[in-house]
Amino acid sequence: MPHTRSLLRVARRLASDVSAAEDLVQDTLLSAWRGFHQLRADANAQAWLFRILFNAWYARGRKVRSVPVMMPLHDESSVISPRFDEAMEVSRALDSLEVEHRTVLMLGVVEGFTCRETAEILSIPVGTVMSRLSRARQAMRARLNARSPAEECVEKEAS
Amino acid sequence: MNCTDVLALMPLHLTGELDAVRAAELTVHLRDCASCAAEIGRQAAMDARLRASVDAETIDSTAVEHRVRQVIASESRPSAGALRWVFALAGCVVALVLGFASYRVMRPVAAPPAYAAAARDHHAEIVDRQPRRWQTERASIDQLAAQQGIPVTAIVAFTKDGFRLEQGKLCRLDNLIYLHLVYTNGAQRFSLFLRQPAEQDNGTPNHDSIDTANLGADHVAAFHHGQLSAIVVTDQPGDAASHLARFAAAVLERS
Repeated sequence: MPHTRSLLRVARRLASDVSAAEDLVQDTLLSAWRGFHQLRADANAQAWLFRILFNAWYARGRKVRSVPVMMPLHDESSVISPRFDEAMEVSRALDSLEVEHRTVLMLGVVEGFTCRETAEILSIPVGTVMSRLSRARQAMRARLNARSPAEECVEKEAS
Repeated sequence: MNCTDVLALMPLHLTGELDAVRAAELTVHLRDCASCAAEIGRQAAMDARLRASVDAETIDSTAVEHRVRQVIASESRPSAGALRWVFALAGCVVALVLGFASYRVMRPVAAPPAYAAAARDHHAEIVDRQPRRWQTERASIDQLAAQQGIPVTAIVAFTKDGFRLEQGKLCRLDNLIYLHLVYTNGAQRFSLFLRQPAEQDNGTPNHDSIDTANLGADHVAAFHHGQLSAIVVTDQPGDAASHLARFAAAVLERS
């Protein structure tokens, strides 16, 4: 089934555990199957699926996971490689973000949706997506201990 | 465009959604502002790190896809209740078809009115011997036959196993004139009704078949041959009537 892995990847960062994430994706795919006649011919099917996913998540009361879900990586888990460390560090930083920031990063950066598509999926204004993306990137940088020179530049302009 | 504008527009710039005018203004700013250019580079690099890290995660969608397929398959099948209705409806249709077919096969076929009239005449005039004016001379019988266009060979054809022509007369069966002949072997009699086929004979048997009917104590066998329609009636038990008719048809065929 196309897009299932993408849906599951995002759902795992929304739901409380892996089982809940799979239930969320299952509900999404079944809703899509039952409402397939509602999909316009010129519509982006992937964006339509993600919108269904988030509607299902909203309907469940946005039960955000409180504990980060540890996900296996492609690398051999028994071998602590620099690449493994890097992926774990980034993944922990992402999981520690607020859910709104995590969501826009997953949609806009990982899944490659435009700001307009992300806005449609989340049913929020494009400007809100842009500001959330900016703050999410700053938060990620802060957690990854990277000081933004642009922030220094803006501070200088302000002073 | 200043640094604040660049930071605000950076999301649209990184997703390629900036319109041409603002994209050009941003490009001009980045040429003159090394810190903004570096910031965009760092943001793009961090996006790449994030994508690479998440892509490295193992996502197994097999289980959820299997569950979805199972649900879809179960929803696509008719429910047990629906199946019960379908089978019940199919059973009713089959019962109706079988009942209609049985009725068509088993129902008694009404004999043509001429057969019933011939049987009545035979019973009244031969069995019960009610008085009628008969011609007993062969010449007179042949004359009656000639009046009706019936060949003499047809009269002779029914002399079988010692049966001889005893008497004859004209009669009316179902509004058609027949030559009623009676044959006897001394102990038994049978009636033969002959006429030329009429226009309304569409439902009468063809040349290759002998139509039979049992009407009370009398047995009827009828056939056509050439320009001749014949009805044999006898009160003898069994299929004597059809034997007589078959024999006569064979004689007429040879003559």
